[in-house]
Amino acid sequence: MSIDELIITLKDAIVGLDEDLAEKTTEEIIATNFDINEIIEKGITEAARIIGEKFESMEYFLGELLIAEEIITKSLNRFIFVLPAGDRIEKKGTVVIATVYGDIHDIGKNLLSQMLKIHGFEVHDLGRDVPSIQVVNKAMETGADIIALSSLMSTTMPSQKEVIEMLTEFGNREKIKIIIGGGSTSPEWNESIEADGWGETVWDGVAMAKAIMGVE
Amino acid sequence: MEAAQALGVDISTLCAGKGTCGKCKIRVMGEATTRLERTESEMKHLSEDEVQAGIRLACLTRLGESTVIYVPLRSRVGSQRLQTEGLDVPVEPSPLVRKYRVTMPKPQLQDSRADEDRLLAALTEQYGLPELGVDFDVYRNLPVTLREADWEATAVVWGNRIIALEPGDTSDRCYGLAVDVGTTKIAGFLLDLRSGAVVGVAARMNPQIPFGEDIMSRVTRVMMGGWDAVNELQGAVISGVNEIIEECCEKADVKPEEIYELNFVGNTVMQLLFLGVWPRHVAFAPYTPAGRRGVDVKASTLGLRANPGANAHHLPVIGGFVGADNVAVVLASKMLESDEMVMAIDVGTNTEIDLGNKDLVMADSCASGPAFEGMEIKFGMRATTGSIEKISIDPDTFDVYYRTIGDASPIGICGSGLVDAPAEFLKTGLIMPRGNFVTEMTERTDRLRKGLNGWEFVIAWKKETEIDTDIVITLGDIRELQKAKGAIHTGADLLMQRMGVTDESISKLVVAGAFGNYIDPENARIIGMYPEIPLERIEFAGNLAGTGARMTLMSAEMREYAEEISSKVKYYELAADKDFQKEYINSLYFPHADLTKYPETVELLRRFGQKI
Repeated sequence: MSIDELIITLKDAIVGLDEDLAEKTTEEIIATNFDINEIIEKGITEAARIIGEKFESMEYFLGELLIAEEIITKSLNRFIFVLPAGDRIEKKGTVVIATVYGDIHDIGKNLLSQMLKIHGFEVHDLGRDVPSIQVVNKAMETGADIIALSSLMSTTMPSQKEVIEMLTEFGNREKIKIIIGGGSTSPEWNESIEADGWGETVWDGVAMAKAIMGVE
Repeated sequence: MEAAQALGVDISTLCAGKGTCGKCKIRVMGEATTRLERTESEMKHLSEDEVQAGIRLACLTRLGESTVIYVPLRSRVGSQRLQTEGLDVPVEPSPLVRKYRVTMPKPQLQDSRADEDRLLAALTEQYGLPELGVDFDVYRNLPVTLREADWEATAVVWGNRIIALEPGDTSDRCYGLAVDVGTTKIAGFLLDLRSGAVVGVAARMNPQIPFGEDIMSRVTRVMMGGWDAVNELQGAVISGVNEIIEECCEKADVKPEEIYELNFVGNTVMQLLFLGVWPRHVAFAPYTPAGRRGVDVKASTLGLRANPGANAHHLPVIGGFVGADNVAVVLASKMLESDEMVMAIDVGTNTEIDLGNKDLVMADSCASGPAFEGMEIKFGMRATTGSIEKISIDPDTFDVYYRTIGDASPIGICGSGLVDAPAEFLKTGLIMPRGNFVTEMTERTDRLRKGLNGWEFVIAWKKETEIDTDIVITLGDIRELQKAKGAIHTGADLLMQRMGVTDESISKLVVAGAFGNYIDPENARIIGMYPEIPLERIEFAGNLAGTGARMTLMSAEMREYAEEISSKVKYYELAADKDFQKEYINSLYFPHADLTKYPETVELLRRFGQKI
């Protein structure tokens, strides 16, 4: 098979949740003189996009999402492991991500965190119930482009606002974009706290991050 | 929405007016001037036809001066089948309130003891009571009461205090009220404290619902509104309880003044909102309650309609998300006295799960959501007249047989029907274990089709219904049900894993809660709501929290026992478990991703021809 065919096979294996085929194809690609960025672009992110569509149409649910993500992460790690010195994955941007202070519900946040990594972002995942000051500090320390904040319980939504206020206080509001999501949030909430974007799904989050960085 | 609240029209809302639930659709009639364009959130919930017809979300619509609004049936909270009955567990009556008829000699120049001394001495003489305290309100009226009564009176004693003094002999009239204050529903039971007999029952929707259907929305409301909002929410629930008191009293021919003791159970947030405590911190990690122990307060302080001296007690709670209602469930299920392992599941918007025996009981809570109460389901509704409560599907013809409450034409589907639907789909091969419709089945039935919101299955055709449209279950509905049952299963399964308990070793599964009595136990097990415990070990207890509330109203020992339960039951924080995410996602499958957990169900499905 040509490298193009192999990449398509990998993509289809991921979309079809075929772990064995994905693993086999990954090894076959590694045996060739491969370009990591081509694989990510044409294979992996394309697969993620199709899975996103399937999730949107509800053909796939959380279980399928998680399986796909595991397959992708495994394959990606394998590529990175054998990556020749000098080759590197194009970094799309740096994201600090957290479930806000007061909230410990992190399934959605974990999915976005993984998906951003798959799409070539450097991700600093601070976990859950993270004090706002910690989010802001980490973002300044890493020179983050984006802060992504999740809140499931409506009682913890104000913590998103708090991060924005702190960032403004530190004079860094202009440099760092803030995207929000989570069960209790809405576009209206996004507008009222003057965040830079609200997403309902993991794919909305990825799309916003890409748009902010001006990358396809 | 505010106008409707002011007028007392109950419009359904789940999101506390944030525009995210889409349950509050109204039609603006005529040339009403409505300010504000439809927002993005609003448009998401409206079809093109609805926009044309002037349908809006009540919570996002600002009214002009004078407007006529039509509230469709589907958006009304409606009169509900308020399931109040629960198992009856008899207890030996030993109420905290007792009445003593007492006669005293009239004061004379030779006997000029104080009125209070005279009363207390007579009580000691005639009943051997130790020297009691006297409530200040009783004390103030003592000289008048005793003289008007001509020195024959009935003392109402709570603990070691006289809380009321009544002229003459009223010792045969002594009542108490047990109340289960649920997030959605309040149920009250009027009991004769001498015998323990229930003389009146009444239930109401919780009047706090317009402030948000779930407890988190209500706490958010308080965080935005401050103490005024706390008072408003407290006032709402108290007014609901007062209506219940009135109704119970009328039914039983009892005067509210003859109620001397009130006993309340509710989840921890409801406890705070009932007592008027600042509730934010219980809704914020690490979710600490204000107090764990039971609370005693004068009913009059809370504004409750009862005897002015009556005592109101709120049972103790266990943790931030496991409240007094769960203490009542543990108490009534007697699991802390059992040699064998018992599991109790109290299904609600928040579902509490207890597991254990006399050595140890652990409890956790999961946000199962309101799907089984019909919320977030396209044609979901509460168990009221016209709701489909039972569904079965013919595996060959795919004809649907259903039964509605009150045998009325259907307007929607309630919780028990929503348990039946996915189980029937699974049995007839219409869906796969991961929840998807098997789209090839369109060749065999036109009930399965692709609708505006994706795949759906017709339960009732337009011509059969009351609402002039096909009643369907959508793929989106199935996803919501998967999440709800998945959360409950995760709560049960992780408790079992952490305690090293297997399906076989559970001697009894008590399923309590709003629709407890009406769900089909086998169908609930087929969809994997709970572990595969033999059906004969499953017991439906109805409103077990209400049962526990009655028991602790009637018996001082039981009330002490509730304190013991509160301190003994170990709270387990489910969302902090390292396997929570994995287990939750596996539990989303019908019945589970790991089919070895459901051998009997798998065999049943295979018999029906499912290829799993």
